[in-house]
Amino acid sequence: MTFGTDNIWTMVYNAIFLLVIIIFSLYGQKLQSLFWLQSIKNAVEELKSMTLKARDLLVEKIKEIGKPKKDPKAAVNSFLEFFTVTPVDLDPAGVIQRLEHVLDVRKNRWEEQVKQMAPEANEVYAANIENALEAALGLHQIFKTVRHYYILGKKSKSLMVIMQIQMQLSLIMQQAKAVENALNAFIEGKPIGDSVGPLVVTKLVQNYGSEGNPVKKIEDYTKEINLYELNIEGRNAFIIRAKGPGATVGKPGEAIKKLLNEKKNISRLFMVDAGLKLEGEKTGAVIEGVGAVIGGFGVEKYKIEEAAGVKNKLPMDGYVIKESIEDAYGPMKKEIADGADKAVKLLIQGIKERTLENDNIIIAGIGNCCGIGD
Amino acid sequence: MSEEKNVKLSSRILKALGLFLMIVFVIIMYIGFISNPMDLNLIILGMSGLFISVLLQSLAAKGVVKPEFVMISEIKCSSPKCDFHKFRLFKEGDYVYKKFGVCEKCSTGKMLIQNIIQMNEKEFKKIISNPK
Repeated sequence: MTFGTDNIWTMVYNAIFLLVIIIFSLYGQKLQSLFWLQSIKNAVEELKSMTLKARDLLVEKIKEIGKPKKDPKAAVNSFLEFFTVTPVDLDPAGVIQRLEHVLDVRKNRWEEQVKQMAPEANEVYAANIENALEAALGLHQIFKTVRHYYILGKKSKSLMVIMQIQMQLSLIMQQAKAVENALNAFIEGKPIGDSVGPLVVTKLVQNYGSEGNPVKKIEDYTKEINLYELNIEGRNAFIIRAKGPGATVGKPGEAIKKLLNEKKNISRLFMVDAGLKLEGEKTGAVIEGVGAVIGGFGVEKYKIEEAAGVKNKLPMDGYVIKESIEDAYGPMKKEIADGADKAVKLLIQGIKERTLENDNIIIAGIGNCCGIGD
Repeated sequence: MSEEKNVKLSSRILKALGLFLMIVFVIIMYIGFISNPMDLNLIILGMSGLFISVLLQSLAAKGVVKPEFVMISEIKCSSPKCDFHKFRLFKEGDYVYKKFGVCEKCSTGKMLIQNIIQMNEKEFKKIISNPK
């Protein structure tokens, strides 16, 4: 080797080379954690700006639509810290009922809060503001969690803490972007990817409803749920979806349970919902299966399984339109809207194949009805 | 997502340059290693070059152009006899199956929002310039 050289540049190179090796072998881990901390800090800054932007946007919308007497900023700020304590599950008996009660109380509280903040907002805008507020809260929670781990990592200098959050950062940011998109969609009343379930059943109502085949509509069949009764391919179909075009989800499980109690001779239940796709799967692809196709906390799913499955032994068919989490929260993409048309065709095919003429069937379009009228 | 990434030309050139330099400097480093005695100058030069080429490639990765999306409302006439069909930018207050005004073509049916979808701006411009 040429360590013992007279060439000054070679000596400089050698010195730098040795220095780099020494620095990296002694402080490599520390340097790595510094780099990671910096990337977490950048994410915290970005999340902070997203949260503030979302809050300001929401406040402006509340002022514009709700015409409040006092500035809603303070109320929005305090509501961003809102929490919900889920029931204890050490004794699982009755946990669903207890959870439903907590969720009902939460929902009522949110509605009251929106009414106070935006007294002039109509039903549709109030629902949109309520959902936007929930999205803002979600964004705020993500920001607070990442900031917590950033400060904890900095304080404790624990590589484990820093590494854990840094390695999940891209997924966390992806989720935050999705929530931000949802907030923007709710504020403007745009249909989101999750609205595809109600869109499919509405397409059915629109395609089959006519003067010769009138649609019997019951508004608010259960809270925030509409029921449509019409003839589809010779079957008597009861169609359930949330009340649009405001951002409502309703309680489809409650509506199905009520319908099954009222109509004793239902022969099949069809459900349509948006479902999360795996990477590599095509957005807007429609897949079929069995079971209660519904997300959320599980309360509505339980009701459907109990009422349709256990009590009535009803066959349950599910149709899922595949989309990513970003697509589900974000404005509806063309591929998803095309998926709705495919789902309508499959649904009609399923009805023809698995039910008989004059059968009573239930078709439920599950999801947020933001931007979907009827 | 299956969307094709739109990368700036300058970034493509930078990436290719980074890749080319990487190959060159790996060869230089290799020559340094196989020289007898081992040529530390070439090895260090190769390493420094590798560092620069990796830097160039990471700079090139920042040149991905995010597509611009617009929200559009697809409007049809509510009358089954009329084939009126147009796309326009989404306006606040629009919702799917909203009926409004009178059809621009037949003047008998109502305008009906058939779909509200997010579309690539380029695709939208193409549709607007060449409606079916």
